[in-house]
Amino acid sequence: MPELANRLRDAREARHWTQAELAMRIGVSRKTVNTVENGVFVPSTIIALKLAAALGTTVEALFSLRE
Amino acid sequence: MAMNRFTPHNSLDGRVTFGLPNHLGVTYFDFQQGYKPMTNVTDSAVADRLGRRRARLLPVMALVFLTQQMAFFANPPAERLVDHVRIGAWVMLSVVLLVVLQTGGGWFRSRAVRAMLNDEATLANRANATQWGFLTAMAMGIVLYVLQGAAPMGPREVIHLIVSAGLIAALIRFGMLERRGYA
Repeated sequence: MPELANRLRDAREARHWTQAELAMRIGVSRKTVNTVENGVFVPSTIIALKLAAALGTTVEALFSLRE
Repeated sequence: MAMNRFTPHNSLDGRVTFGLPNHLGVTYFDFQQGYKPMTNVTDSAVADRLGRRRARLLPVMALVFLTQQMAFFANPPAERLVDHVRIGAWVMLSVVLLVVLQTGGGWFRSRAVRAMLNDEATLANRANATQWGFLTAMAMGIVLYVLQGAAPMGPREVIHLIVSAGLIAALIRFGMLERRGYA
């Protein structure tokens, strides 16, 4: 099964935001942002959309399938 | 010019908005106050602190519960009044731990804090922990069924062991998964 690759950390650091700041903007805990960045947790479509919107990008730019 | 969802535009009330659907609730741009996040810093910090504390405390509570069970079976209750108190104490502690496991605690906090304490990652961790608890309880039930011939036990002791095993496994697993998230 292909794994989910993400560029969340790069997009967040490009904005000079901490994990806590990004978490606060989308209304989740810092733990959720941390686990998504580390690939431990695969977010739902809603969280993915929130992340993309907060970072001013698209879901496809943040997440992709690792073959 | 075509306007996409992320292009700032003028809303009907004359304020500049970010153009995101309201239900996503990420940030919005207020002409006078700038971008405003969905939650405030205090709620986020409180939820983070409580979440860390919960991750540390749950395995400890599981060990305390386990210790209580060892003491319980080292000196099995009879039918004295004090024994009924011990049994009642076990029931109370089991119910409290089960409620903490299922609700995540933070009962007297604001709705925003509780929502962050029980966000998506926490729900996934809880589902996994509950699965571990269920499987452990089933395994304990099977073992006790097999052992019933060699070491007969009363229904109260059997139920006690099955519930305790399931609770302890779920609490430890939930605590471990939560701690990993805060690493």
